[in-house]
Amino acid sequence: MNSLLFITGDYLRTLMHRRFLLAFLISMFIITLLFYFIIEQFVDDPQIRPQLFIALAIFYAFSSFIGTIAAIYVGASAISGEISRGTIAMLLCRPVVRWQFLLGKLVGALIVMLGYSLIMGGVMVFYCFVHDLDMLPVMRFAPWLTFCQFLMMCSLALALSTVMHPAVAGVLTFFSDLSWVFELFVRDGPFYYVSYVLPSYGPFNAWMDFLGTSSIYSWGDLSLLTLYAFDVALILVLLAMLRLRYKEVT
Amino acid sequence: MSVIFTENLSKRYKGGTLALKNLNLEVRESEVFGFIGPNGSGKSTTIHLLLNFIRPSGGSAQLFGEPVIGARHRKRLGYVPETISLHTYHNGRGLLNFYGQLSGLKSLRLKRRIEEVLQFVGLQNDAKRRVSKYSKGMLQRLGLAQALLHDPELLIFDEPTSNMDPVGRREFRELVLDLKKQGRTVFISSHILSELGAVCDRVAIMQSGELKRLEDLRTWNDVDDSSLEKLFFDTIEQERTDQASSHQSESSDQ
Repeated sequence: MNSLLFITGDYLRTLMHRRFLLAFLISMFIITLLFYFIIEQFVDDPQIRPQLFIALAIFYAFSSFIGTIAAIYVGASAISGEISRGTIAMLLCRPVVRWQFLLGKLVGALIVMLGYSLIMGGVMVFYCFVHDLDMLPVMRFAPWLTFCQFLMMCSLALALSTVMHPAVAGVLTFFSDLSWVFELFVRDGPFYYVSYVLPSYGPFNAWMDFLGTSSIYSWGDLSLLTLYAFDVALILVLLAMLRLRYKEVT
Repeated sequence: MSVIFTENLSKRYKGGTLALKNLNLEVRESEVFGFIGPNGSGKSTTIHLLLNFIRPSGGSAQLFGEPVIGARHRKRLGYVPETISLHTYHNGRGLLNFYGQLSGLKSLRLKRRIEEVLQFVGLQNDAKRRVSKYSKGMLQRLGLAQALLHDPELLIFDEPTSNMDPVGRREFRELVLDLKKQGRTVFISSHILSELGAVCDRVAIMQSGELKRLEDLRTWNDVDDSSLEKLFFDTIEQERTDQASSHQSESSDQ
């Protein structure tokens, strides 16, 4: 257990060393500033005021996009980075089991993504509070839903990076939401049900619900989506562990 | 007691290259064992198999009587790779702290050991510098420090002196003699014979993935650099002659 925490701490340090966290925070800060100025432009106009949720949705969509890229990056580079730099030998010649190594990296990545989701939520609440906007019900769940999406993408990128080049793993992860294919082309017939088992991040895009068509109404909905995300992540992490157990690391 | 034990250990890489063929080896406690051979003879492959970095295609390997796939016995070994790749964003002391924690050292003992090994490798004045600023020689020393940090019973050196200057080589030789006095088991893989003759109890000569000769240097009356070199070249030449004659007989049969 201790080894896992040491590896988590070291991964956070690695990300900081790569100026990753800094770049991440700066991106967030710039988005926040842009968002602030957009809101300031419209907030006093009583006719436009109801449309402010569109601005909020745009802010959230942008932040989610950056977060998605970040989640894929931290997931795909967690193990492959150690292998390509050759530093994995220095870790695995110690009493560290490979699953501890993998989980330590994943926990480090998820801490970063959780922090990012919370900042996104914090910014959203702050602006609603400052400009006296009524919060939509879905906003309560938005940071957690976003984190669930990051969790799935991060786990997928991590799992794929154990079997292929991390860049390819990243691209595949980015385009891994396949449910739309079936929704678009196979709307009827038995094949439609295949879309239920394909990776889908649609329900986790909380910003879509800011525009008034909320599909998340209750804590029950949130629990089901959480279960789905953790289930997907668990399966992917188990597959990654199995692969890493037999992977040759030199 | 055997510290390293392999039985018919073989490794065939994905491309079909047979890097190691039925290696049977036993390294006993408190022994300094030299593992020599030309480049591509299977030395590093053997070490990577012992450390479970790669999986064998056949046979088995044990460290301290346990299969190499487990992790518990790794508390008892220290490893210095041929190319030292360290986590460069730490400073020297921070890096040793991280590796020491992973090796299971507790706080007080870890602090004491870090200072001891830093002094031992002569890096105490550079301990606060970031590892990315270290020279090649300093990295080599730090690599040695991390291997000694947790007081391991077995030390595995893979081409330890390939990047060292003559002074570093002499210091390394003294270090091995010191470890020998302390009763540690040392496994050194190298193709630089001059550094092995004076320190090794036994040597194994590898060629083309096969163990060609196992020699106990303690039974020799006089061991110097040239005698080990002679043994090595005799073995290699003998192997080449055998191969040539077997080719000749095959072609005459046809």
